[in-house]
Amino acid sequence: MSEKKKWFEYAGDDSDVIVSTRVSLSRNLKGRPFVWRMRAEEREEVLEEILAAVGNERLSVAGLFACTRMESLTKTQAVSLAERGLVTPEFIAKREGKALLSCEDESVSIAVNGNDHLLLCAMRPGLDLDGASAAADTLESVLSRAVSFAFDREFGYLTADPANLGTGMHAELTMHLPGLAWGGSLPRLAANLAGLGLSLREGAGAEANAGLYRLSNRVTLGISEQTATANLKSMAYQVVMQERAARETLCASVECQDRVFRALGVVQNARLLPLSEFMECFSNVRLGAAQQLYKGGPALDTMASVMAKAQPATLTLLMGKTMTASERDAARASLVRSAWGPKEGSA
Amino acid sequence: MKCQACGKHAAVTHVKTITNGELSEYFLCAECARRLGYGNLFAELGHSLNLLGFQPEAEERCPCCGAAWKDIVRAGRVGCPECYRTFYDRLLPAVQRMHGSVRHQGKTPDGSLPRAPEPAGKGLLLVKRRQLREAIDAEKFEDAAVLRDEIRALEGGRDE
Repeated sequence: MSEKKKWFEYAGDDSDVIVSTRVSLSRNLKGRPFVWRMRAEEREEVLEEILAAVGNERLSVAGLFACTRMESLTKTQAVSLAERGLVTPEFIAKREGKALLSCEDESVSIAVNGNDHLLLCAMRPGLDLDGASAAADTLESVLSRAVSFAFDREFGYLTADPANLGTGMHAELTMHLPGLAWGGSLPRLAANLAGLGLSLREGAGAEANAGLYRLSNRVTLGISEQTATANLKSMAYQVVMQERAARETLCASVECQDRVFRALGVVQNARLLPLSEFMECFSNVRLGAAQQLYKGGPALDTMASVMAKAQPATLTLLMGKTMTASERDAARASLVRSAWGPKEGSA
Repeated sequence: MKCQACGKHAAVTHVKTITNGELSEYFLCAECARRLGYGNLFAELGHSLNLLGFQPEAEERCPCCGAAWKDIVRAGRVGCPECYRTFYDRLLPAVQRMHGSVRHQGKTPDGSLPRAPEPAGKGLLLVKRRQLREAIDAEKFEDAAVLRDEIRALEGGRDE
C-alpha cells in the first residue's frame, strides 16, 4: 500500500448511516469469448489490449492506473485487496490471467478478466451515488474511445452472466444499520426492497458482526443508469430515516449506552483484540460516534480506515511479517489503541 | 451435500468469502444463497430446466465460441457475445425472468446520452426545427414556411 491517503479515509455525506458508495460497470471486448471460455493466451491478449488503452497518451486516463498482476501477489496481498473491497473473494480464488488496475487512492479501479473482461469500479465515502456514477461513467466513455465493447440494441452491454445485461451497472451502498438490526425489522425491510428490484443483504465474512449491510440494485436491463441510481438513492434515504429513528429509541436505553461505553473501553484498553470482538466493538463505537454519545473519543471519519487496517491480511502487510493468531490480536489491539486510545494513556 | 447454512436442503451453489484473513468456500442451498445475496437466478433456472427434462434437440453450438447450451446451463454463464444470438430463444425467457424487461435503456456506445423511449417522429421534429432555424437565418422564407407546416403537423400528431 502506498502512503497516499485512501478514498475511505475521508468522511462523506450521511456517513452516520452510509459508510460508502460503490458503482461498478461490467464490460466485455467485442468479438471475443467471455473470460470463462478463454484460453490463457487469449486472457493475456485482453489484458494487453486494456493496458494499451489505459496507457494511450491521447486519453485523459493515461498514467493514472498502476497495474497489479494477480498471480504476482502473495496470498496475503491478494486477500488484503479483497478486505479493502477492491476485488471480490471470487476474483482472488483463481488468479491466473487476472489483473487489477487502480489509481493511487484506490477510488477508481479496473478488474481485468474476472467474470467479465472489465469491471470498472468507482468508490466514494458516505453517500455519493452521483459522484461515483460520474467517475465510473467517465472512465467508461474514455476507454470506449480506445476499445470496442460488446453491445446489442436489445440486450444492451453483453455480459457473461445475463443478470448484468443492459447497463451492466451495479450501484451499492454499504450501510451501518445497528438500530434496524436490533429492532428486528430488517427481514421485512429487505423483502419490501426486493419487491422494488433492490437487494439488502448482510455484509459478508467479518462485516456480518459489525452491523454492516449492502443495499444495491438487482435489475440492470430495461432501466437506465440514471433511473436505477435515482431509485436506489430515494430508497436509501428512507432506510437512513428509519435507521435514525430506530437509533433514537435504541440509544435512549441504558443497555445500549452500556454496550457503547464497554466497547469504547475495549478498543481503548485491550491488549489482545480478536477480529470478531473488534468488529462487534467497532459497530458499537461507530454507533456511539454517529449519535455523539461520547466526547473526544474515536471520530467517525477514522472508522473506515481503522477497520480496513485491522483486517487480518491488511494488518499482516502493515506489520511486514507473518504472525501467529495471538501476535496478530496483539498487533490489532495496539493499532486500534494508538488510533483511538486516550492520548496520555497510549504508552 | 447439504447446505452449510441451514443444514437442511441440498446445496446447489458454492460461494467464496474471506473469513479471518483466509479465503474460504461455502456450499449453500438455493434458498440460503438467495437470502445471503449470492443467488444466481440463471444457474437456478438452468437447474430447474434440467429437472423438468427440458433438453435441446440437437447439440447446437455457438459458431463463435463453441459453447453448447448445456455448457452454458452448467456454468450459469453465457459463452460469448454471439451466444446471445445463437441461443436467443432459450435465453430470452431467462433474461425476462431476471429483469422483467428485455429492452435496453441507458448508455449506448455511440453516445453517452441516455436513450429514453422517444415518441415516434421526435427525432425528425428536432431535425426539422434545426432546418427551420437555418432556413430563417439564410432568409429562405419559402422553405421556412414549408418546414413550419411540417413541424406543426408533427407536433399535432404527437399530441393525439
